[in-house]
Amino acid sequence: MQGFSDNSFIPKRGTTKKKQVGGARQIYVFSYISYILMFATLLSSGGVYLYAQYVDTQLKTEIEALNSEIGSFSQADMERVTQFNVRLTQAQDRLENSISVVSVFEALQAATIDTVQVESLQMERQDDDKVLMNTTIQTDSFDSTIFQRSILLGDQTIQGVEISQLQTALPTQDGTTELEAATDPVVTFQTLFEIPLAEVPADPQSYQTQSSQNSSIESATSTIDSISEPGTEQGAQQESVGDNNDGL
Amino acid sequence: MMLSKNLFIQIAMITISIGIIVTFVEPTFSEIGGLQDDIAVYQTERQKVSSVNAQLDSLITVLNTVATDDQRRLVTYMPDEVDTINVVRDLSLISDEAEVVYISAAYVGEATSNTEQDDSGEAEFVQPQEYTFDLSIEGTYEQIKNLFGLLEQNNYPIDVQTLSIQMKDGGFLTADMGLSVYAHKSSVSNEEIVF
Repeated sequence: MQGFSDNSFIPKRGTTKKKQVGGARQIYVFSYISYILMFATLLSSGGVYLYAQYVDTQLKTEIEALNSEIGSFSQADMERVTQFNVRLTQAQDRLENSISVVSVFEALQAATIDTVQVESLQMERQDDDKVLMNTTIQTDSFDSTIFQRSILLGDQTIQGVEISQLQTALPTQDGTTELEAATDPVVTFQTLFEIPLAEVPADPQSYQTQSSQNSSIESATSTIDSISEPGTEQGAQQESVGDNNDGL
Repeated sequence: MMLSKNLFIQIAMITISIGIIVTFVEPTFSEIGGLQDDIAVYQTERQKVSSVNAQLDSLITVLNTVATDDQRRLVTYMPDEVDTINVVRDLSLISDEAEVVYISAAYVGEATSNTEQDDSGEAEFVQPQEYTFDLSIEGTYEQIKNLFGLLEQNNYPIDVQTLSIQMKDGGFLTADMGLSVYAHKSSVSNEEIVF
């Protein structure tokens, strides 16, 4: 039976042919992939090269633009602005921290009762913070001393009041003031207190107002002078005052 | 035989492709990434320089609008340097103007200045250079008060740092005071700006 079938002219469909057909397809797909990969690689290489050139050109353009921008920067203008700003800031700082000693005196006057007399006064400015005051005060009685202390303690401008070195002594006979000529014993004491700078600021606006008032007075005076006869003594005095004000 | 030759060519193509990718495409990609980062940095820096230039231009415009008289007053108020002889002369003139008895005025020296750190911690405030003077005068209370009023109205700041007033005979007072006058001091960072 076996030999009969081997002699048949009808080709047999073997299993090896099926394998060959499948293998050919695999090779075809593999070659397809390899061609795609090869061409994709070549294309991407060209594209990447061109893009790299483009990016490099872009970088050079940016560098040139930055250099151009830096070149347009003016160091001299910068220093001019900086120095002006520093000068202005320093001037503003001094202006804001300037105090009026006249205001200090007026604050002291406002806090001093009539029956006391300031013998000596020491003032010391503590940076841009406060003014320390040390005064030696003379009065005629302990009642005045107590009253003076209450006034100082109740004052809003004056702070940290300390009263010390309370002494009683007879007045000197050769004194000329009413207090010294009195027969009552003299009470002296020392007061320490401080005034914040914010309480006694210098006010440039008031000076400007004063100067504008002075200038209006001067203009009025000059108008009067022009009406009155020139060369009088009064006119000469007014002129000298006007000259002095101009000097300041 | 033909099949193995084709397979060899295909494997060679794949190998060459992978070789090109590894040796050229990928490094070039990395290089492009680096260049793009550099471009971004340059663009950022250029924008910063541009903004500085624009701000400087606007500040110069503002500076140019300041009147010459105001600039002169500012320089008078905060001069580059203090002429100590001029200050002593001015103190003498102010004393005459206040009608007090001028005793003496003298230049003491330069005070040590300090630099303050700003609240932000970045900018530093440079204190102006301080010059100290002593002034001794005699006069009545009103005259001395008038003297201080005139000192406050001066064209440049004269700060009273210390004051000692003592009574004399006849209602006269002697006043010894320590005064400060200021001069503009340049900022510390006065070096050339290098980008």
